[in-house]
Amino acid sequence: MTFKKRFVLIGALFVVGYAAMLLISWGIVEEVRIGGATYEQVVTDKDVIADVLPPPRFMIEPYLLCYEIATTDNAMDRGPMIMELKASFEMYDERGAYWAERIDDPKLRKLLLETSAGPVREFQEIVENEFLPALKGEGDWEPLDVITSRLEPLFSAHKAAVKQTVAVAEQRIRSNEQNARDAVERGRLLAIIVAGAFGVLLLGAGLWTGRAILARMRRINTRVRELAEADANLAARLDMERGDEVGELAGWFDRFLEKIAGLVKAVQRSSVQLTSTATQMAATSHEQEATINRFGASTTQIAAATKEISATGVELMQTMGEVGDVARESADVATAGRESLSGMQTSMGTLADSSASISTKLSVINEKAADIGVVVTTITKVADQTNLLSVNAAIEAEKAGEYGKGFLVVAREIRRLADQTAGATLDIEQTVGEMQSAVSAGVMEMDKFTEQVRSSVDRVRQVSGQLGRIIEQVEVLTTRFDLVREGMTSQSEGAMQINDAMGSLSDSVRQTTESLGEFTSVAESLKDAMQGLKGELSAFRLEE
Amino acid sequence: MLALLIHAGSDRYVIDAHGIVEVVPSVPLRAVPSAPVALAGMLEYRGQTIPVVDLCRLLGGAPCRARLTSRITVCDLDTKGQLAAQGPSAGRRIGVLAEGVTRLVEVDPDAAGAVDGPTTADVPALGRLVPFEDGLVQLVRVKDLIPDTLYAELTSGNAAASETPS
Repeated sequence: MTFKKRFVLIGALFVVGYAAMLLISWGIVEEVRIGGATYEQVVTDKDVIADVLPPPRFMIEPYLLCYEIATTDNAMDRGPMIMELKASFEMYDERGAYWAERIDDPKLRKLLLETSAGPVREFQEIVENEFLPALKGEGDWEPLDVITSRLEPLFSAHKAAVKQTVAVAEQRIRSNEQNARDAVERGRLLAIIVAGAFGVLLLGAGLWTGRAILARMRRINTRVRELAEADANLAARLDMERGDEVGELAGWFDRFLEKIAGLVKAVQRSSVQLTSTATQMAATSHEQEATINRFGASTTQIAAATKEISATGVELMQTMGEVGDVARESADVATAGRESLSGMQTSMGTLADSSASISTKLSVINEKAADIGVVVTTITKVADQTNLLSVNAAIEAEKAGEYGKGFLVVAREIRRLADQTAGATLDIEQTVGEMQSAVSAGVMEMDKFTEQVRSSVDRVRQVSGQLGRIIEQVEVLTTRFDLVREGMTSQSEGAMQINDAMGSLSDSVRQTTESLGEFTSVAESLKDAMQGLKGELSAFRLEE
Repeated sequence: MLALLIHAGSDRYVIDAHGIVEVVPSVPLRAVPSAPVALAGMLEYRGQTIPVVDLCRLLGGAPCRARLTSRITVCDLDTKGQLAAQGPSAGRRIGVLAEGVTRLVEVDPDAAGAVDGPTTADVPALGRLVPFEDGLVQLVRVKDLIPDTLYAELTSGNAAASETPS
């Protein structure tokens, strides 16, 4: 039940109770007022007694007794009657003293105690002095004569005075009744006015107090509801004067709000710092991810280049095998040529054919050698590119600082392998150059030889020598080919090593990327959490 | 200190790796008429035109031979250690053309036996002599290879181009 309803209930109870009191007192006044039921009862009872009893202050009874005494025949009855007459006289005087004490009104007092009492005193004297002696037969008068001539005028005068007294008394009663009625009416009016004024005052005081309390409570209520539901403005204050308990409550509430506002402000500052830290973390991890991705790309490039080197090496080995076969074949042919020199005369024609065949084979060797030159150039270029890549990778690794340390080692390894490749290709280049010049010389010699065979058998010995040299060269060539093969094998092994290194590098790059991804997601979730906290905090306003 | 080992004439030199942006193959350069002989020409490097100094010509006399290992080292003049990915107009840059650019090596400029190299007015870029592998290598201070005034003249177009967008 709200305070407002309670206040209204108290007011209503008070009004009902007050109205009941008013009604009860109204009823009591109505019961006992002049002219009311009680009054009428009392007056009626008094009237009954007054009607039944003989009036002591009216001389009718003594007067009648006098008649009775005078007219009775039995003298024995006169004694009690005279006693009764004297008793009525005493009663008259007694009542006179009684009323003399009570009546203030001068007019009534004069009528009752003087005007009507004068003839009575004279009546009493005449009874004592003339009537009672007349009964005994003393005096000049008969008793009845005393009554008619002496007492009757006095009774008449007394009767007139009594009637006057009664009239005056009745007039006084009427005026008194009127006064009483007026007093009751005034009293009622005054009671209604006082009750009304008191009720209005009470209502005003109640409304004033209730309104003051309710208005302040409503302000506090509104403020708290604002904080709880809509605009959580922590800066606004109630600022009520601390006159009463509600004001004190508002004051403490304001101090509580100040504490909360301070707390929220501190949390907001911390959340801003945390957010910027989280953003920095996320940015840094993104940067690192980008760097790692570049490493990964470089690794892929290097792996591809290594595979190319490996494939080229295999191709080169095949070519070298073919060249070796050819060389051995030509050696065989040359040997056969030298053997057949002994039977030169007969086999000159055959020799000429064989030399032509050698010429052809040599030109084939020349072509193959040229092919080798092309392949070697390609390998050299690849080795050069690998070297350049490794140098730049090392520079980048240096710049990457702590993260690039491992990669720096790998880059150095790559460079060394590229240098080995370059060295091997240099050897091949040199060998092939020598082979080419040798073959060229052989061809020329063969041409000359063929001419000389055709022109002169004497130069067969010379040719034989030339052939011997050719064989020697081819043998040299064969050993050189073996060297080249070894070089190629080591290059292939090197390429495999690079491949392995690239594999492990790729794994570590992937692991790094994964852990960076986790780190990024942690940083992002931290950022999200901070954003959430900021959102919650933004519900509180700290400034107007 | 990680440094790039280079050859010029018959001698070896090193460049501090921190200032290096990238090593690129030697390509034909745009010649600059009436320029000092050591200026090999202008190189287009990732949208930026930078001068290239022929170190062989500057130090040894003959121009660098056309070899696969004769390469151009792109260096930052102002800021050190910037990543190449941070943009082509990151700052003033210079190319150094030298022979035998194949290795990154660790040298210690403050090692025992290192001395300040003999300086000449002609070549103020030469720094300390440092013992390295059976011999001496000399540090090359890249930022002293070209006088600032000459650099400004050569790259005035760059400055104008970079100011226009803003």
